[in-house]
Amino acid sequence: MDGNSREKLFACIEATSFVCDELRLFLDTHPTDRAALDYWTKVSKVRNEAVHEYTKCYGPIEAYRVEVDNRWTWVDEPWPWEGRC
Amino acid sequence: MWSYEKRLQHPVNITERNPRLAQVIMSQFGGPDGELAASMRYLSQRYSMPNRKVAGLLTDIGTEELAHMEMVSAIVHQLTRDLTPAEILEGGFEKYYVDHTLGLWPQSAGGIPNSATFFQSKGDPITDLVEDMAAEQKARTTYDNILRLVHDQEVCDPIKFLREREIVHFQRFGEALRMIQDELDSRNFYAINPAFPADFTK
Repeated sequence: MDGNSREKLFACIEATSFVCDELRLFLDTHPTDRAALDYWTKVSKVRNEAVHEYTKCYGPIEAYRVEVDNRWTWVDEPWPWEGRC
Repeated sequence: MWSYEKRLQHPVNITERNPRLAQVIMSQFGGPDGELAASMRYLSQRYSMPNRKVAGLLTDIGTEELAHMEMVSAIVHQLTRDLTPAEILEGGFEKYYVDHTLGLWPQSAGGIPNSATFFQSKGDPITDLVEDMAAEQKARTTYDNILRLVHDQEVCDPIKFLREREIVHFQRFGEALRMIQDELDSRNFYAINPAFPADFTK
C-alpha cells in the first residue's frame, strides 16, 4: 500500500473512533435507543476492520494489538505528538 | 488517545471496612509519592524525551499508573463503603468525611491536597529519568510502610502487587537511563541536556 492509502486508512480510524466516542456518551444514558445502537454496530465494525488492516500493514496503534513477528514494533513508528515532518 | 477497560489490573475484593487504614492507603492515590502524581509525571515528561523507546516506556508506565490509581481508589472505596457515623468517629475518619463524605479525593494521608509540585517535568531526559527512578523507590517505601500496618489479607494482596510493580518500573527506568546515556556526546558527557543541546558556553 502507498502513503496515500495509509493516510486514508488512518483518517478512517480517526473518524470512526470519534463517532464511537460520541455514540458511547449518548448510549450510556440512552442504552436502548434503536437508531444509536444500529449506528454503533455499523461504525464499530468499520473501525475494527480499519484498525486490523492498519495494524497489519503499518504497525500497532494500540498496545494490546501488537502483532509480533521477530521484533516488538510498538516503539518503532513516531509517537502521535511528534507531528508530521 | 486513551480507552478504558472495565477491569482492574489486579483484583480488589475487600469485605471488611477499615476507615483508619483507608486514610493511610489514600496517600498512594493523591499523596506525594502516589499513583496520580506518578502517572502525571511520566505522561508529562514523554514529550521532551528524544529516544522513541524511552518515550514509549513513559507512555506505557504512565498508563499503568492510572490503572494503579484505580486499584488504590478501589481499595479506599471498599474500606470505607457504607461506614456508619459511629465507625467514622471510631476510625478517625471524621476530618476527611466532613469535606468529602465517602467520596474519593486525591490527598495525602496527612490531608495535603494533590499537587503538580509533587513531581517535575524538567525537559532533560537524564534529570527526568533519575527523578523517575527515585519516584519508584519512594512509592515502594510507602507501600512497605503501608504493609507494616495491614493485617487483612484482602488488603495485603493488592498492596503487595502494587509494591512489586514499583520494583519492575525502577528496573525499566534504569535501563532507559542507560540507553539515554549511551547516546550522549562523549565530549560533554556530564553537562549536556540531550533534549536541548544549545551551546550555553557562549
